[in-house]
Amino acid sequence: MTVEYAHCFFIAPQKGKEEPDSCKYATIKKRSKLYSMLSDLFDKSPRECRIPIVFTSDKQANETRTLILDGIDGKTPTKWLPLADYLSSVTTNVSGLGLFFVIVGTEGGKIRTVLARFPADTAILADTQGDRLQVELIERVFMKNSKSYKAVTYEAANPSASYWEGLAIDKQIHGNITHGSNYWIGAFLRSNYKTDPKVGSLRLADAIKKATQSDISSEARAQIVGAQTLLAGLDGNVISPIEFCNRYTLGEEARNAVLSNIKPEKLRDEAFQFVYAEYRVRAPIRQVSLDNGVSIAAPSGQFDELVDRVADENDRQTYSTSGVVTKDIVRGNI
Amino acid sequence: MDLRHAFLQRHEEILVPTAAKLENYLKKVLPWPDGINVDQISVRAKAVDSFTKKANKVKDGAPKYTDPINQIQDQIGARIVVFFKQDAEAACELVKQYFATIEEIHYVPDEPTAFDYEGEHFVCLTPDDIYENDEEAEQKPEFFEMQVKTLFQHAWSQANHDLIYKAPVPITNDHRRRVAYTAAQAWGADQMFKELRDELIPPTEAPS
Repeated sequence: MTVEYAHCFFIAPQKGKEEPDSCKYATIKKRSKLYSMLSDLFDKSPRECRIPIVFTSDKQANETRTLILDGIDGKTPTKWLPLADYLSSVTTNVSGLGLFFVIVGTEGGKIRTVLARFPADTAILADTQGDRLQVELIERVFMKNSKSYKAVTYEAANPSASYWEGLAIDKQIHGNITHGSNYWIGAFLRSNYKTDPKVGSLRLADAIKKATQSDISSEARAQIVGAQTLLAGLDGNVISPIEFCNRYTLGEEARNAVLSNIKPEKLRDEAFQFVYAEYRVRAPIRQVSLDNGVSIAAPSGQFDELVDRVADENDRQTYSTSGVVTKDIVRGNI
Repeated sequence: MDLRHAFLQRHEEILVPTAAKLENYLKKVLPWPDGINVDQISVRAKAVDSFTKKANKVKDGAPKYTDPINQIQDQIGARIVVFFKQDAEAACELVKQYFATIEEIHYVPDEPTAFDYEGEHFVCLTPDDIYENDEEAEQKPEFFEMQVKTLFQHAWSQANHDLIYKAPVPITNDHRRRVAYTAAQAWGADQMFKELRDELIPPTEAPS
């Protein structure tokens, strides 16, 4: 996809300022190294931006979306300036200075818009001249590799009819939702994660259930069951099914068993905020069945606490627990 | 290919299969709390004639839709019909929790003294989870419309739509008044059952 234009805006933190200044801006020259870097960023954005988000709205109106559509219609930096000014108005001293890029391109009848924010940092410039080394502190350096880099991409044939869903990257999101992530996705983009926390959590729960019930080795099953007992510790964290597998170092068989039950494939890397309460609703019970016909069941997150297990040298398992009987019934097949 | 034929192809190849998948998904994903009475969950693709008629609408002398295939958001319609108004409130909360919505409209008559169509309408993003692979998901309709109604609201709207909306002759004021009377009766039945349910059955907790 070819970049048509790229504009840059200097974003100063102006949240709460009564009379904020309008951002200074520049259009990036097409033959510059910066334009080349931005074109590369533009091409990679659908792969790098992997957090699906959706503009919040209850009447099909979202002010940030409207500002983006106005910018696409107008194309010039002055038409994008209101969006940049809005970003500045929600930027606090915690987020600090930033460079905001707007990159728009088209291909095959589709229009892609990439918005990217590079935070300010300091760096040391080193230069050798003959035998001498010169070092200099440089402030206001803006780097994509910074842990505070943020971007979002939108793509559709008809932005005004579509452009409700976007793909975001926010390098500050690692674990619990942070101020930084609320700043970019919540405050600026006025968006939420597309995958509702409950939907993502039930998706993972269903995949884990199906994986443990599939024809896999006992070792793979034990890895999955063991990993899911630790899920309470991920409550509130932003994860994807792939990250679940990585975090708990599932072996290849266990990993494939879980991920093959996430469809379509692109959902395997889709991030969402994990809600343990939803997981417990969808996968409440862990059940162990023995070859003597006995089955033991307990809440999936507490099984190991409630039930003791001893294995002998022939791998025969003895399970034990104690409590007051609340139900003793005859039922159908387990 | 003209619009009608383009939509016909889309209807057969994409919308009808998507409607079936979405119906299965709706029935699976929504965790109805105890005490919530659901009568039916159904999903269908918009009929070709209905789409074509909507696509050709004119507003202020110009076509309302310049890109109907991408702009018309109710090419798939889902409907949840519940017994009581309390159930409708709970259903709406579940819809907002489990689907990304961009629009919510609570349809009530314009005047407090009038009786007419009532119901909750949402425009939702079609979930990717209903598809088996990425290729199918790429072709999905971006949106679908979700309606939540009580039995009485649904019965009235169906009868009104089939008889009055599609009437082959002009509707008179007398017709309108009698239709409003039936809407008032449906409203009244909903109110009575709401009150009776509150008196006879403990309130159900709203989904959290």
